[in-house]
Amino acid sequence: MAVQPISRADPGTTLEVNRSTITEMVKPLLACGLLREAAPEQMKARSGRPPIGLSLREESKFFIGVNIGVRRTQVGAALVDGQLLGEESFDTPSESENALAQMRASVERLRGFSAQSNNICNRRQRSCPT
Amino acid sequence: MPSVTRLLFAPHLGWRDVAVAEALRITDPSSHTGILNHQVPVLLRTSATAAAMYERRKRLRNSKDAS
Repeated sequence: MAVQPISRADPGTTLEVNRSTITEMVKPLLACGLLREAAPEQMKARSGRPPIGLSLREESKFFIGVNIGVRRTQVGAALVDGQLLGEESFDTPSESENALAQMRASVERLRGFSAQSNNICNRRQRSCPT
Repeated sequence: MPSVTRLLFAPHLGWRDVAVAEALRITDPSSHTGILNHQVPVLLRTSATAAAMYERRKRLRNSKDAS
């Protein structure tokens, strides 16, 4: 989804399926928290009942990337929009087993840290009036 | 794109046939997907491919006419 929120009709047009099929496809994504329904006023309806849009819940997901370099290895965690949550780096060990062990330890640390940071951010967002 | 889970050969590091994705795969016991012990997916790509994928997605997200 490039521009968000999008209307439910947009993916139906793109995928050439009807709106009820889209609704069925979207239900589990809403239930698991990957998508959220956008407030109707965010959508620019021309007339009639304002549509309920869909957008990604960017704050609920984060990614951890590992860049294995010849000399250094970097591990970083970021939100969907690219906002960096944390990063670590270390000299790449010559033995792959040692390198993988360090990467895994780093991923675990960043995962814990990022999940905590994300929860704090989410709580702050929920407590702020919009 | 096919699923890539193993590093076949890294000449500068001297590594051969390393199961990178398997080593970095973690299980999320408290996943909010509702799936117990959800296996977090791991994608393994060369740095050039990973950078190209990131650029493409970033540009798509910033584009007004992309779907």
